[in-house]
Amino acid sequence: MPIEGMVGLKHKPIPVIFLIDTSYSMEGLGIQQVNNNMKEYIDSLKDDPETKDSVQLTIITFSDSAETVMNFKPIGDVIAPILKEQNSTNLASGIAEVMNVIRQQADFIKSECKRPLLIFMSDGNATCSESEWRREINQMNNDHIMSRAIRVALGAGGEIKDSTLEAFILNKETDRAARVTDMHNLSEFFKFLRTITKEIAAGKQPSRLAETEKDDAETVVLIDQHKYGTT
Amino acid sequence: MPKQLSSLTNINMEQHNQIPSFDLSSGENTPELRVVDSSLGDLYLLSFSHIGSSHIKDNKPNQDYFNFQKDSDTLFAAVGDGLGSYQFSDEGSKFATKLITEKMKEFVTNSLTRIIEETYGNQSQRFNQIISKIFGSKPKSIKDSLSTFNEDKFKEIFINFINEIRNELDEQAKEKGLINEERTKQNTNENLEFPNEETKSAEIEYIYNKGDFATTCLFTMTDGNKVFCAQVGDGGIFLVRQNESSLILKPAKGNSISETIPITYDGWEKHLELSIFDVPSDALFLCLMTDGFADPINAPSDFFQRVVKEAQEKSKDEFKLWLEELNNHFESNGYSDDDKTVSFIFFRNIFKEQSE
Repeated sequence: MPIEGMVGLKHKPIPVIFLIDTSYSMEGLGIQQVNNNMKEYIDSLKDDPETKDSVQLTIITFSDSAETVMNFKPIGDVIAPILKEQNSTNLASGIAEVMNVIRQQADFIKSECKRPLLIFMSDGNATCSESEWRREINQMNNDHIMSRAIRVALGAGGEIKDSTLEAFILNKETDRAARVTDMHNLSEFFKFLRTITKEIAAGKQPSRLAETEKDDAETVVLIDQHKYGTT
Repeated sequence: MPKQLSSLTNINMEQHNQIPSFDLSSGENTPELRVVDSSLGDLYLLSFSHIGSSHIKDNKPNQDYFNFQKDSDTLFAAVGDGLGSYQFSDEGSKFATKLITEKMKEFVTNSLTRIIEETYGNQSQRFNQIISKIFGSKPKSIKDSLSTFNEDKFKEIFINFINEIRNELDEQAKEKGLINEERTKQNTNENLEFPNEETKSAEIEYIYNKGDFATTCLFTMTDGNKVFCAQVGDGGIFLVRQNESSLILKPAKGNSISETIPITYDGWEKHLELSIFDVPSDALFLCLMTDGFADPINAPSDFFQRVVKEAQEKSKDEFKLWLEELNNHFESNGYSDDDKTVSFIFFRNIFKEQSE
């Protein structure tokens, strides 16, 4: 008979970290879709008994520089932010800011949390030099905490290079890079994020991202799916 | 009532120190699910270990183990959690819990013998007469021998025994051929003033790696009056009293998520936690848990109040079944998919009478 009313137990917090491109190219539909889907994502996690007490949300944006919009906020207290676009795409500063936040929270994460979930979203290529952002990614890959994070990298549209998205992949079993063909299809990606956030909260292995189609057109395309195995 | 556990009672650990392994379908112990209990005077030990769903999915064994020994009036209990990413960590936890309980028991028993011999001489006839005269037919041990123990002494002995276990794990690593490192050792004849190539020899020195047996170790010994606890790594040792419960020792965490300090780590001594205390009059039981059970407990008093209530409303056999339900509760509600092991040492009987 299932046990009911068990008290004194707590789910381990799950750090969910968004790194979102808010450069000028995201103007209009792009940033609007991000804001709408982010709000739905947050609201669904707040309502779900398995995630409402466990998700701690961080949102970092990057354009000319990086900004921590939200820092390890319990999902129950989160009000969905309205992100605004700026100018360039300084990816290096965004990754560096992720690491700043992680270092500040390192003791808490190590002692209390499950593996973080890192979600990278961008529609364009970095305006800083490639060596600069790759150096930051290497530092992230060598970090005790972030080397164990589950990572999902999403490109919107056709401009951002596959190689930029693939650079976020470290653990081929759990990490995924994908592309939505246009911003209208972002909701498909956020559906996947809701699913894996819930799975991680429930102590399950996260599902793999699957390619999706609508009206015979691909909406979510996996980057180099053969390399990462079938879904 | 689920039937799987109903015949798991009274598995006799006294005859042999190996954890028995039986077919689950017969309702007896298996490598995935182990339940053992034993009584000693007012003390009652109940140990439960269940494989986690993540290990079933990954085709890994239950890497947790428990073991115990008993003296005439003392229980020695240990639980170990083999670290998931190491090849033989299940063997490490089995080996460490078996050896630490055996070694501590032997030491405590021998301490008493030494005390008596030093006091009365070692003539066997005289010795036996004295034992009978002082202690009756059943010699008591810990009440006397533990009086010579303080924290420093306990620490010294525990460290010595863990180091002996580490050495034995090195030997096991050698037997399994777990080579960690190859070094070229240059042998030079120092008597020659001008050594040339012919007088030098090179041989390969193999460094064997006990790290593949990585395991935590939680240990306690008690006679019901005094408790000695030691912990290396994570998990938790809790003291449960009538109205409050508390974590006795701080679990050691490693440098990253889900990492901890195993006894195979060279710097393990720095992470050793110890506690010695007299059993409070309102104490109900001690509880040693691997992290699968211990980590999600954030309010020990609330959690254990429920455990006490369940124990008070159930017979021992029913309580064992409830532990399986507790394991399922942790799994199905996302608290832990790790292996989960608990050893209770009840200081007095709080269970409902067993129904016929």
